[in-house]
Amino acid sequence: MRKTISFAVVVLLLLGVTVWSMTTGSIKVGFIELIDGLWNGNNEEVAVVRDLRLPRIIVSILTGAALAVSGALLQAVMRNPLADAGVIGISSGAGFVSVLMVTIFPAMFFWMPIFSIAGGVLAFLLVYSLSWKSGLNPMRTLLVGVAINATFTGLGQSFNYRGSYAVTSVNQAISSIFTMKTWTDVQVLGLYGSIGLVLSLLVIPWCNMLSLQDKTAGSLGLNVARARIIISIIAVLLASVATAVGGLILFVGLLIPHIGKLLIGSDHKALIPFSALAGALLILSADTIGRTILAPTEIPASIIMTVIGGPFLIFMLRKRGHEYGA
Amino acid sequence: MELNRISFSYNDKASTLDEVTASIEHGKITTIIGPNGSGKSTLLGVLSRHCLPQSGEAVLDGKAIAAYKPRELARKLAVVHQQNEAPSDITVEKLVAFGRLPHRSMWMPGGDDDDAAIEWALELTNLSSRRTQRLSEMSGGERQRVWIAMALAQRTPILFLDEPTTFLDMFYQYELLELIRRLNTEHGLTIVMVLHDLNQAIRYSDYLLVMKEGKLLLQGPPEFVVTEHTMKDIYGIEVAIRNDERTGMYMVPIGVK
Repeated sequence: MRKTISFAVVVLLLLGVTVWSMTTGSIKVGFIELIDGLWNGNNEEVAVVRDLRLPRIIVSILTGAALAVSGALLQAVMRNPLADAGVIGISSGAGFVSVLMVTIFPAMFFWMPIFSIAGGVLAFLLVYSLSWKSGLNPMRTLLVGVAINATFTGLGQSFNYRGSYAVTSVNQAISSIFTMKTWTDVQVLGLYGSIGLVLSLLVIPWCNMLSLQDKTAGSLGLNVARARIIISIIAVLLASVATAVGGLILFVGLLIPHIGKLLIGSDHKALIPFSALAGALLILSADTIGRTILAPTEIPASIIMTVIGGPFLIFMLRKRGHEYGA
Repeated sequence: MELNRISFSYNDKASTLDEVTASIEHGKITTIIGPNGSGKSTLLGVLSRHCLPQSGEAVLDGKAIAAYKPRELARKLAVVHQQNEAPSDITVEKLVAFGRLPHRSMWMPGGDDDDAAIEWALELTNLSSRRTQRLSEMSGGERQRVWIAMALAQRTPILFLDEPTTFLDMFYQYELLELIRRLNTEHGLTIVMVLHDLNQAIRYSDYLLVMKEGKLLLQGPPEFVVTEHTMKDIYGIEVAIRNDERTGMYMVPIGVK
């Protein structure tokens, strides 16, 4: 019952915020006017909304969904409720490597998602191998992740001060502003993001089995190492692509699955779809609030997320620390 | 199940298991005993393929267990581990249903076979009335029964249990051992377990394997293995062995000299 209500509320809110987001901003259009304009293509203001605002909305939705699901998968794989692609450095690794490659080989701009994924995998492998000590201790993983994150963030930011022509694309990749998102971005994120999201639904039974101990899952006939690797790759894919297009956003993967567990329980069958929806809702709301509250000035969604997410992480550490070996 | 010269070590220096050779008889209760750190649980781990031996092999039904596919092995033998973790909001029924995964496709809903096996497992472990209860609301002894139910739902001919009575109150310890005996006598399961308590091992086993410092020191029926002399050798304690009509054979430690 609680599950159904939670799902219904999130879906309704997501639809509501999408409509609100489409109709507000520097150009205001009514909902009916908007539908009419999109359908018939005879309204200039709606055309502007379609070319500039709609891609931004879709990118926000997909970024939020990808990051939240990536967090839920990482938490299942690492058996660590504090794992989040942003916090443990996967996103900044993805951002840095893609920026590095695009700077060296500017012609390969459209390969950026692939470089991003490579960077994400690199960061994940570093965190995993450096924090492995006959098992993964949640706190050690988090600390190693924070260090990796700081390193890649620093490396990424150093590109900001070089003053080369690459700066504009760099800015996009490491600080997240959803302005200037085009339908090309939607295509890239839509393609890789949907692949990742569909794959994440397929590994739901594995995620549930990994919530038991490794040896128990093994006794039940699961190839634990293989399941871990595949789930990790999907999580890194989602986080990296989201970073490549949407920029570096922290804490979504931490906040959303945690709220999901409180509302609908720990079964991934419900948790993963819920995370996708709620993550989309969160980032779309953050972006819409960010661009309307101080218009014409914009507050990037990533900054809003950092401001919300930081205190939330502290809250989780205080509340559940004893449970997770803090 | 045959064990052929199994050697295993966690690091390359000291070997935890040293050329263990034994045979585990079908339809019997075999218990592995020995002092702390003697390799009891490791041996069980190797037999359930949780640890891969450096040399030697365990052969089940004419095939080395290393050659089984994971799911295939999970249909032959089920393991109840010593310490278990599960999400705190999971229900008894959901957890026991995990035991069906070796038998069905993960992405399909379970069939009648699966429901019947879950039902059977819940009934045997006396959990039918508590199926919708959350694991976090149960006591240690009840939780242990749930894990056994999960292993039973695998409907394997062989059941491994790693120190199933440790951490439990006396009542639950014996309740569990009685259940294990029933699984053996009434349902024909081959049981291999590790026990810490010698009197429990004597009372509830057909055959004992005695481990010390990674070697299989002694094996045989309890009356053969447990004597005043061997106890001194294995554990370094002085014991008195008594036989009583009501209790059967039992052992009382007297002192360390």
